Amino acid sequence: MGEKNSENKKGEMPFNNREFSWMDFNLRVLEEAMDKSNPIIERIKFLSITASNLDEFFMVRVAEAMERKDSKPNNKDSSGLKPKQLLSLLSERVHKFSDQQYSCFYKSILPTLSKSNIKFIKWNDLDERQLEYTENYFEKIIFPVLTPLAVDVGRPFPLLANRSINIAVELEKDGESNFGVVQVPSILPRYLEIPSQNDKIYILLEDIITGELSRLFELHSIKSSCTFRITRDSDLEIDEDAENLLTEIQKSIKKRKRGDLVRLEISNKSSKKIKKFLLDMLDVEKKEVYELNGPIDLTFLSKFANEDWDSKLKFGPLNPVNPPMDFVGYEDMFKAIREKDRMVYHPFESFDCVINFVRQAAEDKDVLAIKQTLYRVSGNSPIIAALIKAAENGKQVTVLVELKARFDEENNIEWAKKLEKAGCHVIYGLAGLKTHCKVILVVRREEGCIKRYIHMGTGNYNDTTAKFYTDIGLFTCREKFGMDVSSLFNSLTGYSRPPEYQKIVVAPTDMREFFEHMIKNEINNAEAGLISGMIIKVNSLVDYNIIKLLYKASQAGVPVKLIVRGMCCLIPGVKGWSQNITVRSIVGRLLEHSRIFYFESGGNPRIYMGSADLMQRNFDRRVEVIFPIEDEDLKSRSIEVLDIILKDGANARVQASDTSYSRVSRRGKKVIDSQADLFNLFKVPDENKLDKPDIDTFRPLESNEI
Amino acid sequence: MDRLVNGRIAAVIDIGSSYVGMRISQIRGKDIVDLERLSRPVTVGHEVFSEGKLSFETIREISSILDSFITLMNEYKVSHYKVIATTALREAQNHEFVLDQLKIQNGVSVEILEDSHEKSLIYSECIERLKLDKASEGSDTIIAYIGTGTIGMALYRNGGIAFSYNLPIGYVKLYDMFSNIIEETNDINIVLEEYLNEIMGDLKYLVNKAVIDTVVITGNGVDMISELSGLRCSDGLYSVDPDKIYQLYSTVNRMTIEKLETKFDLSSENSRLIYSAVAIYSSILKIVKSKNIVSPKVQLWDSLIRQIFFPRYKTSYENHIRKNAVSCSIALAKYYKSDIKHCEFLKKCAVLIFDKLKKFHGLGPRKRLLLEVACFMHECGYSVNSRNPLTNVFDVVRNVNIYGLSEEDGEIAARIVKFDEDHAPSVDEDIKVRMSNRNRLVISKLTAIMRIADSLDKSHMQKLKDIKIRLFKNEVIISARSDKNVLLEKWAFDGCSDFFTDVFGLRIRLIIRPDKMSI
Repeated sequence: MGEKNSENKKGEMPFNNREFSWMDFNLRVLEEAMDKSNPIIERIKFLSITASNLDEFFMVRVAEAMERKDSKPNNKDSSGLKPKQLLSLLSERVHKFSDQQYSCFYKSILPTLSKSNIKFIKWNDLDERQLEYTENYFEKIIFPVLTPLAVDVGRPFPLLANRSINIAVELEKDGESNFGVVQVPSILPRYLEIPSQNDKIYILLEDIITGELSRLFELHSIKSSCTFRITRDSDLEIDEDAENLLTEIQKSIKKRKRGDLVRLEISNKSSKKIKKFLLDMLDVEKKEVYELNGPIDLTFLSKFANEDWDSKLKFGPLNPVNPPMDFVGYEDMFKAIREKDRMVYHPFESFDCVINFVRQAAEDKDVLAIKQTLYRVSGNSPIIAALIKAAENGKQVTVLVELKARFDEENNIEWAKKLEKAGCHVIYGLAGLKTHCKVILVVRREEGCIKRYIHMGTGNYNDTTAKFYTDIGLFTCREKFGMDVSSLFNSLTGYSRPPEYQKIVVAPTDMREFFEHMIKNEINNAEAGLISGMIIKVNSLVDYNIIKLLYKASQAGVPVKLIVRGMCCLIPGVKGWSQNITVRSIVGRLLEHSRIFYFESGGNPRIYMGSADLMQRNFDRRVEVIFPIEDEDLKSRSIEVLDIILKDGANARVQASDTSYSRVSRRGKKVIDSQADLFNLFKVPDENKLDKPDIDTFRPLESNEI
Repeated sequence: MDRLVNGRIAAVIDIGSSYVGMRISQIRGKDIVDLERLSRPVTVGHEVFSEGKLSFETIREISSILDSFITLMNEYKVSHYKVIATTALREAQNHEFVLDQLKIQNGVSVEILEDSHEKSLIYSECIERLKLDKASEGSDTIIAYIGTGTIGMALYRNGGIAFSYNLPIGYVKLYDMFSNIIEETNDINIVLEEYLNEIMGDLKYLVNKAVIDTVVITGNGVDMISELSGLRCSDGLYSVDPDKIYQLYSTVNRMTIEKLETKFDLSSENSRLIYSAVAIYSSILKIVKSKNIVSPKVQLWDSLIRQIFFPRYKTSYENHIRKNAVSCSIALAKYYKSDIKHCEFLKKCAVLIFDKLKKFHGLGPRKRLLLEVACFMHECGYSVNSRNPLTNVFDVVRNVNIYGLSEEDGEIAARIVKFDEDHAPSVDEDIKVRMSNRNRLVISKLTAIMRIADSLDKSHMQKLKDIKIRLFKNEVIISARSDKNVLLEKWAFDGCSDFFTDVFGLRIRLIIRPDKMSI
């Protein structure tokens, strides 16, 4: 696992660097790409995910470290590293990681694809017929959209868009050499299928353009060329006090395209002259240059994997239970919720129930108002459609669209405008905070009284990602939840200051205090000889103070089981610190996304779920909601779910005290795949009640959710 | 009103000194359940208490808050609501313009509650919540309300309010008053204590005159102070341990505003106000010296929302006001050494006439109450000095706090007691100038009735018995029996009858038969 900074000075709290921990997570995803037991198309998707993850890592995390290097060069992070040290170590790790990615691509993926008669070929490998086809494609399709640019004294180096692929060309004319740049058009497909009798043959767009460069620079001779790509700092700088936040964010998105350069990827086959030219023009340091042994930007593999491949090359389809077990036999969702709290676990159970909840509310004559938070929504969201319908039906619809959801800003602006046009009251979030909580409130008049129906979840209201993100939602109409969620919306809409919540826990109001209190409670119980313990399932565990308390809990003898998919700065198993803590990470065909918090609480377990990870940003800079599971049946089910997840031997890796992750030992044990087993848990006995499989589930993880 | 109950959802918006709040409630069976509780901080109090009026920006802010509240009310299809304002807006010099702006911009009519109305709503809730009317006879309760701009005190004795008075100072006002020296001295606690000790003379008087069993402290800051003091809350009621309040006061005095913010996780606004709020609490507790101190979570809108939902509650509240305004008047009359037997007799006769003449005067129960209060209070001027008793009584009634009576009510009552058989309101320049036409008529009618009633016991010897009022077409005949010399009463009656006739257009005659004849 490379160098670890867990070996702190004697007595210092063990704290793994969050960037290194993130790199380790991406490595676990890469392991899935390398795992030959996974179908080849799925492996391709995993490889693509590692690439898109890495892009975002550079655009946000590395960019932030570079900014710190300039502004606060001597400030150490929680792991004790100064920005310069961190960047240096990261550069080494990313170089090594890139080698592993391309090794996987060339040595494992391509040969396996080839066995299925799927091949990527180079320009020089084209036969005559294929060459003719490709040249024709270039002539008709590619050439009209190309803009070759010569770079010389009178023509400066062009401003290149973030993550665009370009070709640098070394030219010569009348004995003088100069350079040109050709941008590979992003509007065209990255790969072209070319005719072949027996195989499926593909060539990359940049290879075609490179092959035809002489046609672009007819007056010059081509000395050499190479592809390259730049990555820019993409964190938006938003003036939240601006009069119109929507316009301000639109402006910032434009600025993102011109952010500082944080990475230069270049083909390792580039000539020295071109390399020097690019380094000079782009003003990058050598550590920021990544010479790659293959096609730059592997994210195209995601689209490639979504082609219509033979089902044998992919995972089998998953069958979400529809309707979910808690809604079997109920046409009227409100009736079901009135009877008791209902819990749904996606994608083991279909997300349709959440869509139907909003749809039913939109059509119900007794519904007065619908309020919802939206963080990330799908391209053609049925939830948005239902909200628009509700507004058209005269309901009061209030939607909080978080415009600052990173990399979804443009998408969200579009939705916000559509909702506003339909008559919804749209709010763009709070200044200084991202509204990350997932809450729906339906206000309904029943027999002259007001009843409030709530849905609270751990994941976004996104019907697409809900098919491969594991998330839990709770439906309830209990009065105190209704009051709390109403108050939350009043606070979000600016109608009222945050109140004292009775049931839910809200960040930034008091969530940090809540977790601190709950952990301390376990410590006290352990010290008093009472039963104690915690099981925490989150996507990231980074918050320094929480980690410190978890160490204290371990020292007090509290057994702590952590299931952390991504970054985990806590280091388990360190003598004197964390011997009672285990950390496991599950990376499988589904993206583990649910956040579950189990506290033994002296033998009267308390279970909470919600939108927050254990990160400083979640506690202090986001509006998050954690809600208790109080219904005894639902508590039992939640415990059963945690039990299955903890037994996973198929996708789980366990973190060691040196921060390395290794697969759970399978020797002599029946290997449990928790994601597969959870499908069985939620199966309704009567098969006739189930919908036919409707999805081919696995899709790339969206890097921005990680 | 029935439609209100059927609607089942109602709202009350309160424009207070430091916040604008709203409560939307629904009725479920016999219970009122809150659907929404909202609160947005505003600086109304600070502006009014320091500048005297509200700024344009704050009016805009209030309007914007009301706008959002109205949006929320529409979501619940609330059709019945009340928008009230209290001390700060009441004291704003430009409150009429503010109300007009809010009417134009938001389409809402804001009712500014009078101080006495505000307090009586709170006290009635306390009495109801703590079942004080069931308390054993002979035990007294002091009810203190600490608001942002006023402090109210009442002595509850034998099922009625015996004394009630309001100080025009609350914790926001107190802070603003001394804000300029708070930063300059480390001894602000001494300044506040001395000032409070000086203005709480009436409370000391109450404590000396009463056998205090329970002290009830309520007000806007109850929750904050109780929580910071670590007081126990059970069923919406805090048990106040004075030592804990003193301890909090001592802690607060040692800390800067910034440190208070951090230590108690308070907003900067609240950390500023905590100084003055705890100082007031502490001062009151030091004076009352009771062991049984409770602090109920009572808010103004508890009462208001109940009045919207339950028409009967409104009647019951009015009865509460009537009963306690009368008990308060009696207590004041005793304090001013009035002849209570005479007052009782006078009141009995006056309400008899009032009730009989209902179709002629067209006045309601509130005016009947003013008549009763006037009957009890009409002699209060004599104990001040006997030279100008009518002027004295006018000043007394106008300036004392009579429970539940508004300022306007007090003005009317004061003018009713200002006249006797030799003086009539129709020629009074003060009334002509200061009172509205409508109130001038009210004063004349009630004065006419009270003077006739007073004449029936001019000697203070209750000589007349079996008093009956009969109404004829153009004439009112008061008949009574007596075996005493009633010449004085007849003389006084004659002196008052012309004014009565002028006011009501009815002749009035007094027929007194010898007592024995009726046997």
